[in-house]
Amino acid sequence: MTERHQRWAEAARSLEPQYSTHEATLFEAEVRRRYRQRGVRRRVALSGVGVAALVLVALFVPSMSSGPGVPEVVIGEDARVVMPIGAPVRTLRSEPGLLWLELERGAMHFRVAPQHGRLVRVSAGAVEVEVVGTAFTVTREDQQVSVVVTEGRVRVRAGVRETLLAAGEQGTFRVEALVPEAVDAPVVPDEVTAEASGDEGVPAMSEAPSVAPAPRPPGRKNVRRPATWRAHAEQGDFQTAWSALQREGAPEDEPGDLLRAADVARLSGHPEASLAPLRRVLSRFRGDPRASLAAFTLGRVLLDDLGNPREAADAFLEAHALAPKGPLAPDALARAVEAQAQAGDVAAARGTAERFIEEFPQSRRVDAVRQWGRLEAP
Amino acid sequence: MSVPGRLIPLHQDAAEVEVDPADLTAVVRAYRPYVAGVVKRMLGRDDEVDDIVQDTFVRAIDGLKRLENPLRVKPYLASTAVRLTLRRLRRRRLQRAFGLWERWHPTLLSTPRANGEHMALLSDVYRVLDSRSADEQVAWSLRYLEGERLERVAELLGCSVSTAKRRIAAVDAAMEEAHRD
Repeated sequence: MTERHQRWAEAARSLEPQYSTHEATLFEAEVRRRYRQRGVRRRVALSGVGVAALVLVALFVPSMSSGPGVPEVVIGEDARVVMPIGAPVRTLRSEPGLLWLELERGAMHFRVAPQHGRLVRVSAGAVEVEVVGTAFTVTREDQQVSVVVTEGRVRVRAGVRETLLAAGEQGTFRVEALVPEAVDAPVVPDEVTAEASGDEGVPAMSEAPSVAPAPRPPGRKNVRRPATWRAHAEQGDFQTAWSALQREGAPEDEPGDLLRAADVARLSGHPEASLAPLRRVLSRFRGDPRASLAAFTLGRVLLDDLGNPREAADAFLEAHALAPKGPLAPDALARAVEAQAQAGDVAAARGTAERFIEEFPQSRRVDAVRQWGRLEAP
Repeated sequence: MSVPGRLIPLHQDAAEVEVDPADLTAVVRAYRPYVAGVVKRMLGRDDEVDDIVQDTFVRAIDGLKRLENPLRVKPYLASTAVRLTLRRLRRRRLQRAFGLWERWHPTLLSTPRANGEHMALLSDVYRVLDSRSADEQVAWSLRYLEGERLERVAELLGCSVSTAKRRIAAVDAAMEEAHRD
């Protein structure tokens, strides 16, 4: 450092300012004001970024989550089939009176032109959809098949039961016949219920049944209030449906929606949450044909998922009592015996088993029921 | 290094008064004159001093709350002030390229406590500094007007010691050239 540097430094020292206390107070107030202003600007900026992110998510996520549309199979008047390359659909039979296709997996929309004396049948597991001229979507999953009709009417056969679905309705069916849990139990064919069609639907299917109105085409009145949890449930995505149900609140107070909510709860791994809607059906809609199904499902949840055989037995007995001539009656009574036996109520199990054999002597479940009821072989 | 005795080098914080870093009132009263002096000496003009000093304290509020050692308050404020001054000078240099910032002249710097000799010396210094880059101006100011060690100058500028040395030498050469008799 030179002499000149020292002189410059000396001169610079004279630039040190001095402030009064009052000035310091004003300065501090100004600093605090700018600090607050800066905080507000930061929050506004962060909010802006957040809003922008939400807008981007809203713009892009729906299209990402919905993915590509359901591929379509078009069947013309001459029964010519046009489908995407690699579609999981194979032709089982093609003859003058019948075109029979099978959906091996996934979802496929079928658009069928009116046929002239020809039946078009689409199979997905044990479920068969027969049409004359219509458009519908079949989704085959591991456990169930859903059919959504967008135009016309279709006849769905699941086991020995048939259901007619009209435009705007959807049915969900077991992909294969149910194998009861009881030992040596016979196979019981699936059945379906009709909720909205007003057709010959009989309540009850021994597992996860439902036929509910699908989203109706534009212009149709009396549209059910849209809710995403229902849409997810109809797609078979019960985990997402459960999350959506938590956000959107309680289902509508009517049997179909309550049963659907119960399905969403138990199939998404929340069996205890299915109890309330099922009990609501039993208490509020006891005269409804689906009340028996609600009781039967309640019994299954209590016995299989929650390990409560005593209450399960009561539910199965109630299912039987609500529809003693219904298709669920044999299963309900048989499972009541099973539940009573598991609850250690030997006497009740024996009594119910005797009643079962008396009412359904031809049932293939007789042997299993004898075992649970500790009845001696005839 | 011999530095005029009344200058308080930034790194000699151990000699400073102790204030609670979280007490803004105490920090402002203790260090506002010091920060303003540092900024004014680096800038060589009055017009931006108050704004930069206010900004220094505004930005330091959150950081001061995290300081546990009261002796770190002064260097913390100095670092913030140097960074903001450097940023401002760089911006002004850019604006000057478009004719938007006037060149230095004596009326831009108030020197109420300076005598005639001091005013002449300061005028010599800032005419030269005004023609150099922002980094060179700040580096030279820290080294010779604040009495900072070379390592500390490099640290405050975020550059290597050799770079700091080169910048200071460049200004020295310009000073030598300008004041050659």
